[in-house]
Amino acid sequence: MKRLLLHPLMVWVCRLGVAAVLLYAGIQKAWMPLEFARLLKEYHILPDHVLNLTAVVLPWVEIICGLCFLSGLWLMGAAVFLTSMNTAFVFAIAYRAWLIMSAANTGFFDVSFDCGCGFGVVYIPAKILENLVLAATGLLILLSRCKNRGHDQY
Amino acid sequence: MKIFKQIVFILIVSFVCGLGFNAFSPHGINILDNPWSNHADKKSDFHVKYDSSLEQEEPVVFVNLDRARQFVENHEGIVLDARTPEDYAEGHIPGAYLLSFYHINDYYPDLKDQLTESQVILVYCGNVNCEDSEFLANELFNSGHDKILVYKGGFQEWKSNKLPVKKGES
Repeated sequence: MKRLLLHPLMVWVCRLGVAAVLLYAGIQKAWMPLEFARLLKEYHILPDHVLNLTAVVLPWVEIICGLCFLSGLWLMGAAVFLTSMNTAFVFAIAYRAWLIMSAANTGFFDVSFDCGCGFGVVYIPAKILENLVLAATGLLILLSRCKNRGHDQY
Repeated sequence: MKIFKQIVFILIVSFVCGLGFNAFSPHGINILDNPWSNHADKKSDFHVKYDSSLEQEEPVVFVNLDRARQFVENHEGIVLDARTPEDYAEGHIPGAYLLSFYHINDYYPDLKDQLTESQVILVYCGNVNCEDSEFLANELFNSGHDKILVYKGGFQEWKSNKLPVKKGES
């Protein structure tokens, strides 16, 4: 199983998939920063005065990481970003879902909203699962790089 | 150490690209601006209160369905829809003009003269949970309009009360 997960072809496919997701999501958000800032505000996590700056820079972190996964440049740094960002997103989305569940008195499996992820209104349990998979993929890429350090074959 | 350097490089490049792109993008925003907080923090003459009376002493007032209905039926002023063009096309309050908060620079120049002439402006968005009507009211207040009604119930409340709805673009 470990050999299969860390197989060069498997890692390549993961890199391409993650790059596609990051580039699409990043471009969507970078194009409309005001709308992204509004969605960030609805999380009630960041102070108001840093919302605009975050909305301008965060999509470009995704775009640059996407390009890193495509090109192979700064791959370990991009993998760390992928894992840490998606782990943070999981907590943020879960927190907002909890707020909505409390306000609307609904169950976790009934919650959908635009999470500001670049894909419009999404079904939240599926989104959390997707972010966990992306975080795990970041770890996988990081592990594969550590394993092949010194004799990079990708 | 190598990872740390890469993280720093990615952050620096992201900042440079983000700020550069934002500076030239038609949808660029002012990163130092803070349109999200109540402007009462910044301007002492900006006050928001909930009021259903006809008298308006405050520049921005939240109104309920009855007051919004009265405003529309009596043609007391201009009605603005702060939602997206797609939402507007699907249905809006009759007589309302589209002034999407997220495309404000596209729509505001055409409406500026009418808004300046109008005594009072009523703004609304999707429903009681959306904040776009308040953000738009803030922007209008900053642009010099000082009698603004914010209909908090929004289009959802209007429609659910079987009040007239118009479909299509303006």
